[in-house]
Amino acid sequence: MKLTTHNLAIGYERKIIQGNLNLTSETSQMIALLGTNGTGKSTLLRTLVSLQPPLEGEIKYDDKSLVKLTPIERAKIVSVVLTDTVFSEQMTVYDLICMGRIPYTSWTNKITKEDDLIIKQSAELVNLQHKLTYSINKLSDGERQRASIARALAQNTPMILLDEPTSHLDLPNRIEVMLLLKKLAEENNKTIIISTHEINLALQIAHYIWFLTTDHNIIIDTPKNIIKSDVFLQSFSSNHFKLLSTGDYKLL
Amino acid sequence: MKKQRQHIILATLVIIAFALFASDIVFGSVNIPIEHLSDPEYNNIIYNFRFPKALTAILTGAAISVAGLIMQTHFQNPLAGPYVLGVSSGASLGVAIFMLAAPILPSFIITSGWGIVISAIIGALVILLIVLLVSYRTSHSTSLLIIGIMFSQIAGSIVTILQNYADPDSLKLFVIWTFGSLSSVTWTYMQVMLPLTIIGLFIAIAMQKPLNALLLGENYAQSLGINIHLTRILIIVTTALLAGATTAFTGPIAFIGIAVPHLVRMLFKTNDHHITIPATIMVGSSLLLLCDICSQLPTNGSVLPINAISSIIGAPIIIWIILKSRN
Repeated sequence: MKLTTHNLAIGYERKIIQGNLNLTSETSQMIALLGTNGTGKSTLLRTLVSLQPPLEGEIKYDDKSLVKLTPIERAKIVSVVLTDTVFSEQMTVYDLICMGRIPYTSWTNKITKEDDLIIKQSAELVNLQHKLTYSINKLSDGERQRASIARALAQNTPMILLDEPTSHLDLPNRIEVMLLLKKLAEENNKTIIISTHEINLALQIAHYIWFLTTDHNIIIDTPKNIIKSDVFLQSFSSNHFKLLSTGDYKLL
Repeated sequence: MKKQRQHIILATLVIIAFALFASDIVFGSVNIPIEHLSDPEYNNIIYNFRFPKALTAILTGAAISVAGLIMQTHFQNPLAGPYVLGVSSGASLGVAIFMLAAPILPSFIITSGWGIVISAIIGALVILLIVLLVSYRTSHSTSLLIIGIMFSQIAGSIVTILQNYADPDSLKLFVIWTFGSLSSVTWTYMQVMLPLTIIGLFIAIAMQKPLNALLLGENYAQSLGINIHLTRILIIVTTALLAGATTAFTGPIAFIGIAVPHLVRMLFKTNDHHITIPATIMVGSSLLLLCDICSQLPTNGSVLPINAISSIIGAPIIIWIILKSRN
């Protein structure tokens, strides 16, 4: 599945946050969307899945324009993991992952043997197969995030967009989730786009960086090249610290 | 395993509901000996009073409980319900405006029951829309509850003010309505209440999939291919229909709508609307039948107001929910 945008402008009502976005993504890529707060990372992700309308331009999945897809067709192409957290005593990990099957089930939401298999496979991919009967309230933050990813996997879409999937996680869990996403891209042929503040991890793990600058520009490059860009290094530096071309920080 | 257990509980609930329905008909302020059941005088009591009353308890219990369930899912708030969010008061306000304006309306509109129902549904709808608008500005579940109570107060005040200006005849008619109980539903009114309630319940059942998706919030629901605008409209219309069509004849019934969905989730250990909607219908009707049986317990021939009983059962459940969610 190939995503392309043509002269896309994103934002709210009269405020354009980013304009003239011409983006493309290919299968099996993991793309990290970087940028300081307010540069429109979440807005871009939300626009790419129709959670908010684009201000201008076009978004295409393969040859099909996003606006021409029905909600169900769209739900079979792209799934999302948002920062919205769900708490429920009665909802088990299985129930949560099961939600991913909604675009495929009948009006009674009946789970077939095939659905059941996909749910269990999704849980295995994020290593939660032993916790299927646990209430989602009883999960740790890392497990909850992995359960959300499994929910998106059960939706069986070629593309998965994730909004800050590593926030609220400790370091081992952050690395774990990032490596998991890369593995899903490479081994399960998914296109994965994440927004993140984990510059260091993103540079080491992602295949491509989409970097949204504060002056309404976007720089697209491989981690190797983008780290040589002055604009990139400067936007993550200040009077008190500096981002080095190794991806590390140095206090001044 | 889990499914089997749920089906057994559901089957048990159906049996309990039938048993309560039968008891509600058998017990009443007049003692009817079984051997005299076929006497025309007793037959009249059963056919024209007890049967419609028990049927009203079933329909009302099911309707306000399902309204509570879909409101809790929609607002993502465990404290939502038709009574606490002011929807029932809105329905009362609608009826008040209608009845106090009654002298200028042709009388058949009043006696058929359609006028009352339509004004109750409109009243419920208006309050629901206002609460909905306010809910977008506050995410805290207890503030929504307080706002709902405030709207009930405002609606109540407007009713009081209207009464002051009403002419004596229509005022009398309205005051009698406010004493509304399950027994005020005659067969004429039933012809209005029954179809509307059944339609509302059917829409709720048909919406089980979007309702399930909404458990994850509106954003996720939309990303799962749910038409969120249509769903939102259907939820609001259904809630107003269910709460309005029953409140129009019985008056507001406190706390059942909020309490029953919690009992159901506790009993069935699931959020899945495929289970919770039918279960809420069964538990809601059973609970209101039970309230009605309790209200007839005094042996001196008097009947207690249904609201007194439902509050004693429902209010502690709300306190329990608030205490539990603090942890």
